[in-house]
Amino acid sequence: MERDPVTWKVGGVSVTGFSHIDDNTPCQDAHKFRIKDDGTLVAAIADGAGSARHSHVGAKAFVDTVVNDLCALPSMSELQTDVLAKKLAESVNATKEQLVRHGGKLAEDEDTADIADFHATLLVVVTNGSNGAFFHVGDGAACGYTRGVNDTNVTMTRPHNGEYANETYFVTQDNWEKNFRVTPFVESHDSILLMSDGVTPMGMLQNCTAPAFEKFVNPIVGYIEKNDNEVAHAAVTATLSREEIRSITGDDKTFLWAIRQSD
Amino acid sequence: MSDDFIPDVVLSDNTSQRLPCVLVLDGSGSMDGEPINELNEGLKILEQELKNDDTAAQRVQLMVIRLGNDNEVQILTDWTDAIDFTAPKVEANGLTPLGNAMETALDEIEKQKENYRDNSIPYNRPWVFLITDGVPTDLNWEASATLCRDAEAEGKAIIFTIGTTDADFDALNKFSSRSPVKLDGLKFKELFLWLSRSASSGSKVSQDTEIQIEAPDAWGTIQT
Repeated sequence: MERDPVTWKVGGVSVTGFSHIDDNTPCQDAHKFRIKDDGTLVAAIADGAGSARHSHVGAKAFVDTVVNDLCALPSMSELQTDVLAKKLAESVNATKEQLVRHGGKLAEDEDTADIADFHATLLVVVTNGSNGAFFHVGDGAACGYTRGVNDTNVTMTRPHNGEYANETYFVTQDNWEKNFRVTPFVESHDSILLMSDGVTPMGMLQNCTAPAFEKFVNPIVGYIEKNDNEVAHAAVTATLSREEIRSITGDDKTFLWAIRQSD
Repeated sequence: MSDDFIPDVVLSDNTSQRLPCVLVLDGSGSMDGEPINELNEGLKILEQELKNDDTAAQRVQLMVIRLGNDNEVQILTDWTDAIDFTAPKVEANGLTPLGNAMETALDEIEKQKENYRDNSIPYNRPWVFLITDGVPTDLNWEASATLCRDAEAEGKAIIFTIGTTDADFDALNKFSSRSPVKLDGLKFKELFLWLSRSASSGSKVSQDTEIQIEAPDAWGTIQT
């Protein structure tokens, strides 16, 4: 029997970090989302490396292409994680080739042909009414959760840094597929949140073991649920622009949400 | 628009990420006079600049090690958050045990990493700055220098060596895979301004890169 498509309240913001405002450098985070006609949500965030000259171009290219390519797959009643992972890897590799060929033009820097100039992390979620998965290279974090009567069922994908917090893995590295992590979830969570590493210090508990529900997630998701998307966008942007954040991080801050709507 | 933020959101740093930074400072007799005065003035500037930068004030942790006297190594400031850092006064007398001082720096870094791990505090790759005007006087300094290079190769820390005009740059070269930097005149203030800026930006880098800090600007020249 055909199910009715799931409906989502979905949105995202990428707010330029204080240190990038001070240095007059562009926001190196990017995000993109799309809901297919069958209700499948495809969303991505990317965080360009501060040390790479044109990482803002790289971050945008990866989220745009990957979301488009994953949406082009035929509808699946049960999402097949291996099919999605393979498509995503092809999409990343094709984007890398395009960046080497044309990235210089996009960045208005004709000399650029080094993929390291476009270093970016990537975090993608695909989910429909029955299951889903996170696809992740580098840092940032995401959670999907479903509220039960007595507890909350959470699926997490955590940052991957190695020993040092300022060093991570990028899709632009040669061996990136070694650091490509897939985290499937067997149910379609009620709420999905993606955060770049500018948001995780506030949005996640220490070591990103769980979402900071009480202090951060609940008030924000509650507000998004109660308000229309335009108001929610402005309010999340204003919240992530608050001066108090200066002492926490100078980094760009991306927060993407998808809240399942009841029928 | 800033009035439209979402109420009841608590904006706190749940991770408390740290950037450990050790200053190994030459307090030998030859630094006496203007050089040590300028170095001390530079340290005050470092204190102020780090405190003025909201992110750096919370994130940078400093340790200051002095070398001098009868080949002695002294921890002048034990690990301190930049927000609580008070520039110590470095005195100038005695010899120049660069090797012992750098070994102390490496040991203290590993101990501090253990503290971070015990308390689940994420940390950046530590920085060590060796600043001197002279020639090492401890007998085993070359073995210590090899230890420093090995530590760097193993990714334990990043070592920067900085010398004033009369420093022994051949010796400094042995302490790090990075070429030493020659300080222009006594531009300690400019050096510490740069250090503070670099600590504040702390850009994210890939696991396979060695570039972690911008090149010196208005204060020194890389000795290649």
